[in-house]
Amino acid sequence: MVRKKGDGYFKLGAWSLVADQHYTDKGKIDPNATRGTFNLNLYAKYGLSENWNVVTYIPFYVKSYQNHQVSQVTGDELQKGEEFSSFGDMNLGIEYRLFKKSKHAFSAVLTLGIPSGRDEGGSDGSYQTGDGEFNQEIRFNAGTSFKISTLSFYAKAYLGFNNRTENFSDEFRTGFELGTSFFQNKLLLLMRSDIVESMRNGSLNAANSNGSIFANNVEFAGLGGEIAWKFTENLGLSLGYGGALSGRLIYASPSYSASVFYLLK
Amino acid sequence: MKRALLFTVCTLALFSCVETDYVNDRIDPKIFISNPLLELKKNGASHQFEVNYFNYVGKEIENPNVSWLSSDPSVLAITEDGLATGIEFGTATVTATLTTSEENLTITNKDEVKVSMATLTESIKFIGTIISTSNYELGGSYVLETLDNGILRLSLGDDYVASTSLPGLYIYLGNNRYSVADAYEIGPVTVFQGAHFYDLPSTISIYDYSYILYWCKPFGVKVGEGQIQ
Repeated sequence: MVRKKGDGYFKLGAWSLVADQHYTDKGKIDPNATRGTFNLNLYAKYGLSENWNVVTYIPFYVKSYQNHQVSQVTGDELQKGEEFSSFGDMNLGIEYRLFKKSKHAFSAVLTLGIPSGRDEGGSDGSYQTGDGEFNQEIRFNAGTSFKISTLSFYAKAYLGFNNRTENFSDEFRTGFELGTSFFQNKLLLLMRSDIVESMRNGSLNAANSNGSIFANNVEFAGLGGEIAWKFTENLGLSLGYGGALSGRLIYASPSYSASVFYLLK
Repeated sequence: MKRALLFTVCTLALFSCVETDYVNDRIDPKIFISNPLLELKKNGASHQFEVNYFNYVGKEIENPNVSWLSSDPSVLAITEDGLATGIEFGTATVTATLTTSEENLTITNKDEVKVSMATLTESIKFIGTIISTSNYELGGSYVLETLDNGILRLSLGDDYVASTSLPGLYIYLGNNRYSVADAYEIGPVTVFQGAHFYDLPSTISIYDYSYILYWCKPFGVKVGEGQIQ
């Protein structure tokens, strides 16, 4: 939620996904040559005032790659593996506190998706590190905290609309997060779910997108979790896991992340 | 904490490298009589039969050691090298047999030939259906035929449809349904619905390939195929 003036949350992380299957346009799972994406990223949120925060996500190194395909019978190389890396697409946003009373809080976030990555990479253009479009997302957050027995919990939910350009379909996004802490707030456990639904109003597809694999109309319902440990009052380490329970035109394998975070107070 | 983070990031990075996928691309070896006859002229010019041999991964092997047999040598005589001569009016079956050196498998191909007043080569065309081998929509009828002007044409019918969500879709002619390593790449698919055709180069014969393969190139997987009988 919105941080106080001068407070900040900074997270430096690595994220990896390796997949040998994907959800098709019909939502079924099909195999593919093993592909992967790895990125190093910085997430930051800083309180400009009591009501305004700036938020940014900067994947400053993104690697997209595919394994070599080798014949089990002859040992001959059937398709050469490849990798491509560059700066990725970053997000810049501003969050405004709409309302806060007691344990409840509401905010709105405007996020700009900057096409700073490469929308064509590798020999066939399919090793993208960005989507090549400038998008704007407006999102409304709601959060609350509560207790069950002696355990304190927080819950957050959001609703968002992502306006995409360059013939991409717009998206409806929603999700929730539930978390709790132990050992004097040193250990944090959370689970989150995100849902993306395409409005299917963009003309872009795999056939007209210069080699892009999951060109447009990506949809998913994802479920993930994170465990974080605060070594000091300000510094901690977190490990994350996420995966799509269902989807269309998205990899059907889990992702893993690791980050170090710093709380500025 | 620094060590823990460094270890975790390095582990993620290590698992994020280009490695190797192994593909089982073994198939049954095949031979085809590449210049079959309908009719052979009695006491006319001899006909040299030829075969194409594709091994256990669909690779063409030149000059295979084939043995030839006529079902009725009194009608059609054939030499060890496949040179056939019409002796008497009637019908005989020519059989080409090859024992593969790799697996010691015996494979055959046959051609029924009528000995008559004239020699006639088979004017063949293959008609079949493309089917999806994936969960993407892809299918339709096809015809592979040699036109009167000698051009080999692959035509897809009005009922052809392919999903525009198929990434990097290419079409090939091949002899291994699990690999396009030795296949002929016709090109990227640009038509996703309705009738269209591909004219193939003169170096390709109608008997050279057993499959039409639709291949998702970036993912290295087959998404559809048509068997050429």
